[in-house]
Amino acid sequence: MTKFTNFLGKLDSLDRRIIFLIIAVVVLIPLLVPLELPVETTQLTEDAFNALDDLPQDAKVLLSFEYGPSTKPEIHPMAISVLRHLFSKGNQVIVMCLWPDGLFMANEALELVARDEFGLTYGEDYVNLGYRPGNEAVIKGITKSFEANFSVDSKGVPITTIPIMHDIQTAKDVDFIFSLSAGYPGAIEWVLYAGDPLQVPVSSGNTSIQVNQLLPYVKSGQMRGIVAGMPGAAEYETLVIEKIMHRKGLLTEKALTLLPNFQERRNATKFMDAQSIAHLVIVLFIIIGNISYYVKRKNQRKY
Amino acid sequence: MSKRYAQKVVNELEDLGATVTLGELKWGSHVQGQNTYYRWVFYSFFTPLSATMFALLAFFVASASYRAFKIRNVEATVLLLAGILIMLGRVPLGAYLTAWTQNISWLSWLHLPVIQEWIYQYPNAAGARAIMIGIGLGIVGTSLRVILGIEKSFMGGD
Repeated sequence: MTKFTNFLGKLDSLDRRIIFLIIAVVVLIPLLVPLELPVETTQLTEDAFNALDDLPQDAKVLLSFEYGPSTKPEIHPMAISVLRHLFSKGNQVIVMCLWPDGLFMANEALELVARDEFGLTYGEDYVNLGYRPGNEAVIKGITKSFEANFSVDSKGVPITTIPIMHDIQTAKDVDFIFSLSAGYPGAIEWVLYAGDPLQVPVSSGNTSIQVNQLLPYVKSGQMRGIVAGMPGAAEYETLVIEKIMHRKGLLTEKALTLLPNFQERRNATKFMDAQSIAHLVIVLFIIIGNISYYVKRKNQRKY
Repeated sequence: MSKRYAQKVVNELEDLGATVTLGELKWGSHVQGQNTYYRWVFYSFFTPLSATMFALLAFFVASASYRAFKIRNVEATVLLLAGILIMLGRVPLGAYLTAWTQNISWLSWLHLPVIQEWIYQYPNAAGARAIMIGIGLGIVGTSLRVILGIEKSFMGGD
């Protein structure tokens, strides 16, 4: 027994390389052998999904990309799911970026969903206005005029010649703003400088760590739900698939044919197995760490 | 500017007898083009490096929580319990482990995603709101001190 308590006491100073190795193994195994755990949806994600789902077919949605490669695993699946959702309903999408690397993310998502999956026409069904430096000044700017801030789109085409932009003069002319944000500038700036002043509904897809900061805006009704981190992305993937499977609300014929493809390519859901096991192992580490701390303290009191 | 210098080089080459044509790329074509060096640098260096830096967090969080997340007092215990409930409630495994509670109506609140959602929506939102109000009051207070000339440290005073 003494040997065991001594062992527990020593665990407190466990080499961190052993912890790193265990984490690497528990993340890798579920990626190689998926557990396929079912994903349950939560209120925050459902609110964001319903806000977009309630938009009419002729609605135009402004999608802003504010993330880069570091947060791509969390936010990119959301971008893909939101685009699939909007295009499944026949909505038009105007894309812009407040982060320079957001342009690469936007191009990747649009090439996959708009061009390859839905076969949509650039300029008529969607447009990518590209990146403009200036953070919240750009948001403030488009509340006055799109053309003044984005004279050309990301391909260098003047926006006055792009059909989708013909009846869009300011941010007030869009029906919804969805910010895919991993920090500053991001969702908060959209609420403060565009959503609230123009009374345009705003929602957001964020990293898990940002949820704390954004919840007060959701509770006050300034934001319509949040898609939070990779779990939120997995929930959104599930909601889009359920919508198409059960033919809920607005749906185009093309969306029905793409259902098997959506079910096959569920990146966030696939990664949730690894995250599940990693979280469980971290909780076990915390419990073991506390037992070890308790035993060590008890042993020290003896002498 | 680069166009002017390129034209200068072209002119010099033409003076030497070569036939050179100066092409022009659209603004931003280094980002939009398929085979540009900018894209290559972005996808070959920047993407893997920044993804690696962010992924390292998982390892350090695991190690740090093992060493620092200790039950030392009541506040630390509450934080620890909330942390564990959030971590398990946010992932499908938490829902899977407590799925049985959904079959018993008076135990349904013990379902981990329900507990996690409640922590998110109430104590967490209240805490975040308090911090934001605190920051706002702090900004007003500091601004008043600067406006009224009480705060002079930014000019080098005490």
